[in-house]
Amino acid sequence: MIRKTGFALLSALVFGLMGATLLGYSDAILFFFLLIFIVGFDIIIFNLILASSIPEISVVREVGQSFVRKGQFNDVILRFTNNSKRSTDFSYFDTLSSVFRTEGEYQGDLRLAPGQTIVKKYSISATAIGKYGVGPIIMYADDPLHLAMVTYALPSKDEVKVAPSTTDIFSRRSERVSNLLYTRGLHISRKVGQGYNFYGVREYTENDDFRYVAWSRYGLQNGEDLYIKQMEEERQVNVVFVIDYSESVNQGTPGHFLFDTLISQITAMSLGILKNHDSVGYLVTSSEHDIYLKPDMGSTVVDRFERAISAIKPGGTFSVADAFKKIKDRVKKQAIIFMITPFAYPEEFRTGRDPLFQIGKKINLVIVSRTDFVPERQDSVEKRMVLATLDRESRWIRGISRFFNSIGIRSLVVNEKNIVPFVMGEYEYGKVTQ
Amino acid sequence: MIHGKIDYSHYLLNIGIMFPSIFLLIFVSTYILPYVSAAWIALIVALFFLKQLVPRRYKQYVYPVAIMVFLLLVLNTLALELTQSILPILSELRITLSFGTMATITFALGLVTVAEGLISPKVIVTIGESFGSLVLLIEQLGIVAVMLTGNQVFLATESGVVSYLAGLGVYGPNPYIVAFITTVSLEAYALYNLLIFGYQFYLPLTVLSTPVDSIMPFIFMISAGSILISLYVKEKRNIASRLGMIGTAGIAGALVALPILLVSQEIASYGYQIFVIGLGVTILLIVVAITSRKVPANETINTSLK
Repeated sequence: MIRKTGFALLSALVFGLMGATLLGYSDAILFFFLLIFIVGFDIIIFNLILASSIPEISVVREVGQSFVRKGQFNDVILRFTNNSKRSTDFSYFDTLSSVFRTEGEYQGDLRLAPGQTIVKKYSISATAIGKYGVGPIIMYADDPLHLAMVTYALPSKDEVKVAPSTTDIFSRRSERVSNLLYTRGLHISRKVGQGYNFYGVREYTENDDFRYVAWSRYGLQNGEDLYIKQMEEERQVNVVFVIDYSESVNQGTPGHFLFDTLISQITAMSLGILKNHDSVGYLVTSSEHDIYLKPDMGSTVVDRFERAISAIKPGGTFSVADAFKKIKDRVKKQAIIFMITPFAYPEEFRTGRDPLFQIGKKINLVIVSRTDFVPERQDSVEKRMVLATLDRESRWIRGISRFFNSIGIRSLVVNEKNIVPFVMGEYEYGKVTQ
Repeated sequence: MIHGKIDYSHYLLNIGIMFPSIFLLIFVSTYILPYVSAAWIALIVALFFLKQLVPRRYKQYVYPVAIMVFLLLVLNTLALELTQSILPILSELRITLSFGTMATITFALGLVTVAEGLISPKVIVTIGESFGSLVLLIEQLGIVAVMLTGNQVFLATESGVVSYLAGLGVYGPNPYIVAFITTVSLEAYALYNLLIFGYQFYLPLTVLSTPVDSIMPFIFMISAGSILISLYVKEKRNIASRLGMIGTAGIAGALVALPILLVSQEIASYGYQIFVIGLGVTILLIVVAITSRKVPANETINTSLK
């Protein structure tokens, strides 16, 4: 296949030949004519010999594991075999997503004799969760003068599903001291009031049931004061994370994506909540995705969540109204609901007392600021434009947060650093007020 | 420029590629500089320097903007020829539209294309500029050839030529303008004959000679060698097999091209030289186009794994 450079060179040569011919300058005619034929034959020989051999190369790819964790290295083997009757020189590269770090020979130059097989190995390690394609393998060769090129994409394509890394969620899985930050040991979800376990005593009020008066404490301070026994019972709190998995969370740079950070933090928080013997459920929503995992105890639900989320990538659009409708239809149990969204394109949202927002559920709207996930810009003009846009968006989402607070839905704009403190703080508060 | 260091070999090859143009520029300048407008040349050459001085993002706009301004000035001048009722300031922007201006602009364009080719970091741009400037400068060479051989005729028939040029609107012509008009007329006539009657009438440089005729073949060889080296020099992979391929292409190309050229020389007296050359080039380009068709995928060898 002749390249643009080849066309340009041949055109320039023909133009020169025409000029020289019209003037009848034989030296120039000889110069241009010879060059046209040398360049032309270079392209013709390349097309007839090397370019026709490339499709005769077969490649088989073997991917070590189809499900890995973020940061985990996965071995890939490429086997090239020359099925043609000629030695073939070519270059190759395996098409990989920008989230993959690579080690080894995922690209290079090869010379294959007829019938020869060469094996190339490399490793990939993903820097973000999700489902990513490996391949196709591109083989290409060009002529010595770089005027013609053949590119051949092999149909071989594999997929790798990437779950959050163990390092991101390790503090939650382990028995580390950091667990004490948000949980206070086992069986913390207690409801004071009626129950079987004695909790303590407090001063009697008129509304208290007279049967629970602690007569043994009668007149403890001034001779006439009455105290009442408080009992407690174990209660299970259901926590549901409603996650905006639209295109708007697909922001950031390889190694620091918003959706990746959110999922890691949600997984870590889920493990903390599970350790507290509460249930966790998930609703991953957008116009493209609709995954609902019922609140459940035990790490199985987190594993299911990790597998589900590693098989998809952020896509589609997010609608708060749709998310509220899904919550109303699906979350039947009493639950603390955290709706986590960056609320991208907030100017499209119209505030108003929509009855759809009054669904009788305890919903916390966590608006994640995208400021921390804007790639660094070198160009000063571009940098200013991005900052101006972010500033405008920030004002919009703070206004929206105020609106939701005004209609009884707790809402806060958070950034990457304080999302966990806010969510876990609300979880603690929700446990005692539910 | 690599890591702040000047890549001298690149510029040396640029000089090699542009060598015929540089040589012809120097040669024709000695004959035509006294007759061309220094103001026009300075103005066009200034554009080249302006392009080097402006910020990188505006470089690409210098020549297009200059061409647009020139065309607007031409339009304004033509409008002033038709009517005088234009704004007074536009009357001041009239330019001289004459054969002398055209000849000067042609020469200045050759000068600028040579300069652009010499400093270009891309080989393909240098080659393009080389061929572009060569066509302009061969034209100038034709003019010089006419000047060198035709001045006696011009002097002998001064009154006749002067009256003929006066009919074209050229008054008080100098030898360069006479030669310019003669060459352009001959070229136009040759093209007219070729397109309408299908034969060559008169090609200026076929019959006229210049002092550089004996040197030019060697200079063209230097240029051709530099072009091939420049295109190859960046190669890092499979050097042996690639050298073999380029050698094969050179030999095969020469083996086919030289007989065609010999045939074209033999039948030049019948007026079929351009026909033979054109036919040879056309067949070559057709073969290039046919062999450049996309090679179909071999589905039996590579099947989808998924």
